[in-house]
Amino acid sequence: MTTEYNQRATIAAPASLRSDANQLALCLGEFSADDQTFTAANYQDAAGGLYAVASTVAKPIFAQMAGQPLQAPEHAPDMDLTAATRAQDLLQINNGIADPDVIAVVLGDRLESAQDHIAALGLTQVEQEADVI
Amino acid sequence: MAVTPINLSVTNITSTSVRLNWVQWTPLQGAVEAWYDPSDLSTLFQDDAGTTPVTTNGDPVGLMQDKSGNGNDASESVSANRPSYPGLAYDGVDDELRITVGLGSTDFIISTVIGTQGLTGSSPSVFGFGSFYSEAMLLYANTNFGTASDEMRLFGLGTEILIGPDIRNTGDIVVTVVRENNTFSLYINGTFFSSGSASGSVSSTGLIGSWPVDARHYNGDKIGEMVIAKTSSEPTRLKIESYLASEAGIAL
Repeated sequence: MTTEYNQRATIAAPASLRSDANQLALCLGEFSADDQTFTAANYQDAAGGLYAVASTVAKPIFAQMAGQPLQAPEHAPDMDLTAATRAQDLLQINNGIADPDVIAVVLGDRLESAQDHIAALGLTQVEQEADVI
Repeated sequence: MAVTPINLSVTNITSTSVRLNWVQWTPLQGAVEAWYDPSDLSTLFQDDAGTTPVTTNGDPVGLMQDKSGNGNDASESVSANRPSYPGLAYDGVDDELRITVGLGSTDFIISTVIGTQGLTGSSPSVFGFGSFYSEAMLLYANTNFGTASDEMRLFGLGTEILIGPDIRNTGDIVVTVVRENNTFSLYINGTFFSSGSASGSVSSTGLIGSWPVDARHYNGDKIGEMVIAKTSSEPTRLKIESYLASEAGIAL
């Protein structure tokens, strides 16, 4: 038996696009809590632009659905389809590093490392203090 | 006829005694507060509602049921935040499982198997409790940007409680934190490493694989079986550690 989740998708949503990106996640996802996918913008690009990053195992249908007209799913019939479509229009799958004007996605095999995906997106984690007091 | 019952009684006592010596100790015998066993597929589900079972490598885990019988299940409602079977494997970006365990100010033992390969970045956390610093507690592997502070650390209750060893790339290990009164102790593979003091109540809300306060997600290769007990009993700690090590194939 093999898993349906045979891909890993790592998605970088610019901080200003988190709300739209969460509506897209809600639309393409399977659960009502998926509108909380993009939270803290704790990754940055070389220019200091901030991004919220999500990484997840994914079914192949993820990429197919991402390229098709969106419909509100059963688990979120009242979702903001307009916002989700705005985010969909900005999707760039396996097309270079993160950019403030796009929602960049690295899509690969499920065994690929999320850390490698983030490196491919040209992002680094925003430094946090070692002492957390 | 009167002798027969006496002989049967002796035989039964002897048989029972021998059988008990062969029964492996499990956390169920330790009156533990929570017991998470990610190798037990019967306790794993892809969704947090527990409707779709985990069946094969690569499946996400949205619910890991508590085997202690106390109902302290670990779950995650956001799809992207779910770790994967086997391991469990946490991606170091957003994967975590939420737990609610009322530790408060009581003595406790938290013991778990972790994989240490690949640890990097900003303070990846094995577990963390609490949304406020004063009632928080987290155990993290400080690999913080090569600042000569690459040790595992326990932070909590407003202070850095103790500093442990550098655990990066040391394979699978059993890590244990014990609270006895206001003294916290760290054990690696059953061996005492260090201790420190703090006082106060630990929040009941926690995460496996991260910390509620900010993003410190675990990026070692796995967080495995975990046992939480409300006791500081050394015999109980030793039994838990021996059990976890045995299950994970780790030599103590």
